Amino acid sequence: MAHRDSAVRDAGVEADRALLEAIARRSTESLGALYDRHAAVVYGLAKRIVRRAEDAEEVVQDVFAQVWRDAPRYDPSRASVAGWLVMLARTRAIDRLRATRARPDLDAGADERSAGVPAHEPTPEQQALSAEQVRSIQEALVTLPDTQRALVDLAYFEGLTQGEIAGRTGVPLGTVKTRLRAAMAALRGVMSP
Amino acid sequence: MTTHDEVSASLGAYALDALDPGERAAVEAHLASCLTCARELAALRRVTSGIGLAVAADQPPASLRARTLQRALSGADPRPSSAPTHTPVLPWLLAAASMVIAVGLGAYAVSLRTELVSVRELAEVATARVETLRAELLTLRQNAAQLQRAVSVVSAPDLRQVRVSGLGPATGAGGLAFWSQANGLVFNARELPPLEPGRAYELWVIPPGASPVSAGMLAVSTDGTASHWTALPADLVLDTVAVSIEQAGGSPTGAPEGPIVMAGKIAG
Repeated sequence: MAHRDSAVRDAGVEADRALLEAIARRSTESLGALYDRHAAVVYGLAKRIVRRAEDAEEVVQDVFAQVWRDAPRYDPSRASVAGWLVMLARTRAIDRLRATRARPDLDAGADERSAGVPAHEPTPEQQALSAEQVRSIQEALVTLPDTQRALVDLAYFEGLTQGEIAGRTGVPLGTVKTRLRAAMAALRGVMSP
Repeated sequence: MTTHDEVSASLGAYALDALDPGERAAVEAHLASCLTCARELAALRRVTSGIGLAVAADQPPASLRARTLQRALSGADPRPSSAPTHTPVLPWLLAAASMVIAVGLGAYAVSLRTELVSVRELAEVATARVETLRAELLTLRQNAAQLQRAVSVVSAPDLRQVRVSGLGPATGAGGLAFWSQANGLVFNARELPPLEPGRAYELWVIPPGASPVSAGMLAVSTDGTASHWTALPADLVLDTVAVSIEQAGGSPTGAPEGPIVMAGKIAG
């Protein structure tokens, strides 16, 4: 089962890399094929973050427009395509969330972020995750203590900084940091090294 | 925040993009020279990627596909890339721009250069559009020809069907062959397992009591399906259809050398 799981994953990784190389050479068919493979994941994540379907549709368009634009610069040996798409989806969704959200309760740290400064775009992970690894994370998220999972949700799905989380929840900043660190350590623990 | 321990403790928050800009800058400065932290961050990035992938996928409306491709191809993107592009430049435009600036016409030269840059961008978009239209037209032509051949087979009065089942490594695969002695053979398969590089699926038709005859190499899509048409000699009578794994380009001997992974006999 694990062998088949990794064989399926590797076939998918190869397909994605081939598609991205073709997209870099300006193949619209390959962009369509990449959309067919991953739009549901991008849309699902975007909708989870921005809530409104129309905004989620805009995020999908943002992501694939950026893929088309950046494909010539993308190095398939350095990052996984699925990870890149998930990272783009989250970043652009948070951008849209900040743009459309009214923010009456700003603290000093939040000013810059809500003033239209785009979310920071980190590098995606190098090797693609298998379906089994994603399931492990899914399960680990469910079993996290509520106090920890709530903070992960606020950081990942609402794009809040630790300072903003403290302001929103009333939990002291030091406690927010400790809980986030514990949550990430627990999630990291279920991933094979 | 400058010590290794302080940075290490905040890597999880960094991976979540939950640090304020000041802390983030300090982490990035440290990462530039700490391999341990870089490795740890890579693991934490797999976690955040997993969080995103763990969210349920959701099929968007069918109309979004066309809108998305259209927006991407039009080149409009509110967030400009920070890295320099290496899309082809029209050299004569830039040379002309440099010449004008060198002559020193001041503000006029600057505005002219700006105009030339946007013309260059328009030309790039136009070139890209032409290429994509050409590719689309070629695909449509190929699809139309393929469809016509398939229709001639399945609408022929001498049509025979062969149900083909997967064996061994391709146990989960299935296929259907349509054979018209006058018009050729159409073969559709699904759930073909992906092959290692350098290997390919070859289709065979086998007359009763005789050696297999190659019917061509299968082109397998990323979703594991294959659709194939081949002409056959009008005097060839077959009762079995099979698929084997061969080297890319087909068996060098003209007979199956690799394992047979799909087979089926004509019913009745």
